[in-house]
Amino acid sequence: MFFNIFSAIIIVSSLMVVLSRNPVYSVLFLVFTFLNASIIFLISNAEFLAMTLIIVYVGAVAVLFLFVVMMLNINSTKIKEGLLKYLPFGVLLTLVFVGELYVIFQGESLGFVTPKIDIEELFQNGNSNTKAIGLYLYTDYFIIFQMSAYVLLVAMIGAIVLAYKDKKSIKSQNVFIQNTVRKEDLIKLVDSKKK
Amino acid sequence: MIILPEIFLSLSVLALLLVGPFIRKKGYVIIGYLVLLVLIISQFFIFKNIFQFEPIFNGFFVIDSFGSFMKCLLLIGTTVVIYMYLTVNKDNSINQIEFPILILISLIGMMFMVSSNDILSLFLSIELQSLALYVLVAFSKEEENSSEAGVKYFVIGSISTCIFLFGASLIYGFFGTTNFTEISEALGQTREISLFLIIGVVFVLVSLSLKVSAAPFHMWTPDVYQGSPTIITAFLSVVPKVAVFAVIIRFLVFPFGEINVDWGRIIIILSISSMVVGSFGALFQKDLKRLFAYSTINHVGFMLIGLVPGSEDGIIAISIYLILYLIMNTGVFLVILNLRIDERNVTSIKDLSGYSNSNFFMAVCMAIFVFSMAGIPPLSGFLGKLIILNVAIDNNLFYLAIIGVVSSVIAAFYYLRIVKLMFFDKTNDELDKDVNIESKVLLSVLSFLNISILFFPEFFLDLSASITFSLFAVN
Repeated sequence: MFFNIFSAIIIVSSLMVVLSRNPVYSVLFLVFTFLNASIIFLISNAEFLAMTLIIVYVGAVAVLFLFVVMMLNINSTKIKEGLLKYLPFGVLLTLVFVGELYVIFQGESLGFVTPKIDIEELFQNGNSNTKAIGLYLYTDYFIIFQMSAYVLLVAMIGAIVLAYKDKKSIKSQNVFIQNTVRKEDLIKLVDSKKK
Repeated sequence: MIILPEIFLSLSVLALLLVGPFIRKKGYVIIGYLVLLVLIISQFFIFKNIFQFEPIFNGFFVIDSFGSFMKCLLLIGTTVVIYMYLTVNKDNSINQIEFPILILISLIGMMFMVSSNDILSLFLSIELQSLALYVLVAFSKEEENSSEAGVKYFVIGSISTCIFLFGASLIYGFFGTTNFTEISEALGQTREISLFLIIGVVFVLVSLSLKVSAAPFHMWTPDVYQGSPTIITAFLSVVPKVAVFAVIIRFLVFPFGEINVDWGRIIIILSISSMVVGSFGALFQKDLKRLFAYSTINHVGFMLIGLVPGSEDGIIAISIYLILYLIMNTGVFLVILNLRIDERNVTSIKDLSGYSNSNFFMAVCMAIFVFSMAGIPPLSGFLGKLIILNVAIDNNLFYLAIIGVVSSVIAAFYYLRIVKLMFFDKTNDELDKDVNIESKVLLSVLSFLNISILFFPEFFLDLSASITFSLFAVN
């Protein structure tokens, strides 16, 4: 029941993301879609994924989108022009997705096996979803966690190195020196007749 | 703790990042020397446990003598590059404290790569090393080419990452685990090899050959080599190649050794096309860096011959070739770094004309390195080619051996053209004549190694045999 309501809302609001005239509304509908998706995660007992979805996608990505949309003056009519042109491609992608879903629900085996991580076992000890993930992440997968942190550190250093401009190369004026300049310092009077 | 060198390096990177901004003048020199010190210390850590075998961190990494040996090579290569950066480099646009630190971070990624025993850790370490390399390639803000090369390298690297992940997910889907040891055990019990598994292995292999610039996936190499700062070209052409080769060897030989026939064909295609592209592509190049990019592709193709049989002698041959390749290539790039006109680094082949008249010592050294790359007998490059061809003939891969020889003969043409330009052509007077003593010392050492290694082949054969033994002992 709840699942049907929320998934209907998701479908409608994601259609509105594409169809609404104002780009700001589009982004707001995107946020709405993410919120409803996180509720569906909550219904299926995946509270960690629900929280991450809100924090990462709503808190960071969508707000960034909103920021960019507000900063850039995007002409909304021009965006709409391509809608018919891209429609066949969109339909094709949808068909592929539907076909993949069909294959999955048919249960046709591709020779794949189930993974060996037994997360059910952790649940049975009364652990919550988030705690179970944490127990894996900080013990067995500790080194992977640390290495991801290191990769993020490198990304940060790289962004600063590539974007930072040394102050020496910028030609800005020093206000104090500019105010204390006197006429005699800059202008030299030369008697041209003497020569 | 046995993974000490990596932990030590990671912690020292953090310390150097903290110290760096507080150094007022010439921070990059002080940080550079500190990095050099850190590298030498970690070299000792590795020597300490070079003959140990131990899976660590819940099987995500493994310490074995193959990995330790490759780490030694990586450390030596990086040390030489940092030394070149401190003494030879005169390009002011890369004189920032982050430069040696980023090289160090990339090295950490490569050291993790070499010892990783799990697809997950392998993926993260590849990302770590390439992310640092993207920044290093685009480091020089004054040159447009550098940014262009950075963007190209980044896009190609991202595609390579996607392909790797797709292949890795297929492998995970087939085995339900990403650990190499468990995959190896599971593969031993499987009767029927699914097509999906082979597709997965091939995808990972394609991604790795993008990183090592084997031939159908080599397009980025000349552009990136030409655009990036010369010191980074020297780094790119040596150190990541060693690391990725070690990864390819470990990935193919250890968990997937049983399906040797399947990936062997792919390696044959990669090898032949690399040798052909590497020898023909370089013929009409006008830029030294581009020329040596194609020469790298040629060498990679040659090394891949050794991997085709998937046997111990092939890996021994590749290990020896990697050592020799490191010695030859760092030498060549040291000479290129010293080519300057009015304190500006030049890389055109024409600038080398008549180099022997203006600087005889450098010209002789360059000739030694280039002859060695061509595989002329008294020099060390001959040893590498000989052993690789020997492996090919032992395993009845005659056509590979013939293509290898023909491609080296064609490659010898452009190597000899450099020698002819240096010794028999008109002198180019614009070239700066002064060469500092530090680069002369390093050049003498490298050329001495190039001449002398052929007289002690047993040492290198024994060394490589003992290190590759660890790779096969666990199988």
